[in-house]
Amino acid sequence: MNAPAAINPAAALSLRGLTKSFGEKRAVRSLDLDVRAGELYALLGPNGAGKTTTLRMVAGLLKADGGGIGIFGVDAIADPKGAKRITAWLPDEPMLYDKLTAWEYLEFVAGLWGVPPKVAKARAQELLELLDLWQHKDERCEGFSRGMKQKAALAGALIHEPKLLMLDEPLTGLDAAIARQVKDLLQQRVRDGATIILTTHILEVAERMAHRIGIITDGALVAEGTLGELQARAGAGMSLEDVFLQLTAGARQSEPAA
Amino acid sequence: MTLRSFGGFLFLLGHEIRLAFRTRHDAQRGARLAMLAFLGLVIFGIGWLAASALSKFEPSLTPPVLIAATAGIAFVATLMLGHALIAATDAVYTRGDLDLLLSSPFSPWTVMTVRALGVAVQVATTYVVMISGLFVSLAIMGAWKWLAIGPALIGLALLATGGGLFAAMLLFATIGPRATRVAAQVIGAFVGASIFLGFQSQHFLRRDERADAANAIFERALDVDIPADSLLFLPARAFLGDTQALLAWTFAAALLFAVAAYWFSRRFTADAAAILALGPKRRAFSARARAFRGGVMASIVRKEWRLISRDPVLLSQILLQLIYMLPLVFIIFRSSGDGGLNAGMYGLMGGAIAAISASLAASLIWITVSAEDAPDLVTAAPVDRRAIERGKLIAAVAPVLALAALGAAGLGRIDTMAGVWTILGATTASFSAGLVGVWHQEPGARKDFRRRPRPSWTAQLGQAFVTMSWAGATGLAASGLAALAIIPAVIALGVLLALGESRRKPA
Repeated sequence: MNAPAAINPAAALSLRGLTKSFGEKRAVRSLDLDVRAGELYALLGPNGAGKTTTLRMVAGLLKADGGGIGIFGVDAIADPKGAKRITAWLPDEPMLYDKLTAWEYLEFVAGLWGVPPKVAKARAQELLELLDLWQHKDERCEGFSRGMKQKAALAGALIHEPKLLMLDEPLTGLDAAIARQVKDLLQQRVRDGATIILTTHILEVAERMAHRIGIITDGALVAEGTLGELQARAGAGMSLEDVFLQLTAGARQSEPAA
Repeated sequence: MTLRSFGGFLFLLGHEIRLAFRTRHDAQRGARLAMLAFLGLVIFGIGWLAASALSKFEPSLTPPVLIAATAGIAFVATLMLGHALIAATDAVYTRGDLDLLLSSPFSPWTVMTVRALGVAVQVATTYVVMISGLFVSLAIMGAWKWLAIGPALIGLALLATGGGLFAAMLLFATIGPRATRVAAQVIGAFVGASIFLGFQSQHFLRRDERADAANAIFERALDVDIPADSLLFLPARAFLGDTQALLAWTFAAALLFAVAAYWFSRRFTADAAAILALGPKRRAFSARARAFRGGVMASIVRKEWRLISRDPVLLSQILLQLIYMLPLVFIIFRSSGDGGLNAGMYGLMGGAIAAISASLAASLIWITVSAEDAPDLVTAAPVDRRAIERGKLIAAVAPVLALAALGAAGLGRIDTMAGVWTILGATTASFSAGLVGVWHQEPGARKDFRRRPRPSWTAQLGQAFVTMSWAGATGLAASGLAALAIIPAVIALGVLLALGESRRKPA
């Protein structure tokens, strides 16, 4: 196998030749991807396409079989701690402790990321107020609804003000009002200079929020660009849904395991 | 629709009983059968021995015998009550299927009545199985009068279940649903430990005091001026084969159970919403937020201690282990006052304190390491895995050492070096047991731990071996044989090194 090209130090996230297999199944195949600083990038793909596996490798939760990962110029494979310091990962199932209150949870996460206590306290208050959780700060997470859990986890992901925020299906199962709150907060973060990568099955979210969209299928990136670029590539009058279905038709026929 | 038909009352009761006795089966079918056969043999063997002794006597209904029988029945009733209280709170609060059942076409009253019956069957079956060997043996030997033990015990189970249901309701009404779960676990632990404390109570007294106490109790029993036909002796007479008393006893017990079950069903049907809404611990809203405290290690330790302190099942287990330490503590403090211990006893004490500390540390590390609800969060943090493990190890071992220090201080009052060796041994044993847990336990979600409440075999065996070796070393050192203590210490270190080499690799 050829050595992967060097990571792009100017990119918020730069993947070069990223590869991961689970036994016989190749989940990610020599993936090259650049996400620019300050953009909201939507990663789309059918179930089992390799989206979550890719993001889990970037977050340092899975070891890549090969290739390189650069986060704002930090080599995430050589210096995972340095990379983790500036990233946050929010999976589709919120990572919470049922028996901790929302406030205690944020205190714990801030401690893990080494945020100074005074700064962390101010940020926690700001985030909880912004997400309408302030009234619930002293309640244990076990009693939270799905939406409240997702918001508490999001507050945890943002408490160290990551430069790169990765979200896996962040809006799944949320009601319209909470989904709107989350979307507003993410867009505000992007305006403030953060970079966000999210995976979603809700194409409307990608259409409305993303600066650029990447479509991944069978572990490889098959298309990338702005919404307009993708539509233009597929043909006049095509919606993102049409583009997506056209590009992923092969993968859906072979139905890879999730 | 008949009672037995699909969706009928008995169908629901069958479901309850199946759930109550469904346990995790790791072993192969053959091994399970062999284990059951062995258990059956033990129950039957002990039952046969007891029946051989009992069948030589005709049950006598004199006051001293009735007093002794009443004391025994009260003892068993206390155990049953603890069991019933835990089973009742478990059935209502922790099984988590009430929303499904109450949304079914069954009336809420039926659901709760069946649940109460399920608790009674669960409690009764446990004790009926325990006395089944005795019962069968008595029948084989033709000691018919003693067979009253069977139905009388079922009556006692019904009565205890009724008491457990009442207690659950009382706790629910006074301290609320959440605290009821904690209280039930703690009460259950105390009641369970009472067997152990009962058998160990003689050690709380000096030898001369023991004889005095036994004589005093015996004389007091002879002096009791209660007629044999008193209502107080009804259960004892029922157990001893008085047919009329047996009928009255079982009828009264069944009646009390029926009243309790009825009340329980009514009460919890009305409160179903409160039970189902059991979740957030709501505190008075305060605009002022508590200050954050930082630091990676401190954050991990604080989080683990919070989670431990909010886990009623774990707390009751720890409480049990601490209760088991009580006789030891009594012996140490009584003997330190008497100046009555020899070097061998120092060794036993020191070794026991080291072993109990390691066992407690193993319980806590199992929770801190394995029951990690957000492993991805911890892995995604910019912190070395070893730093996380160190935090979890300290969270598990520190409270244990605080307790071990008390025991070691007591021993140190009698013999300073024994105290020093004991705290050293307890510290080493606790950290070793903790390390084995860190190295060999698989992480999992805390909520799953009620269903699979056992750590890995490697961790269990490793902890047991290392604990025994360190306890041996501590015992030898505390009894003045420090040179000999090197042998078990080297063995413990060797096992620890081997376990460290074969530690679980991160994914």
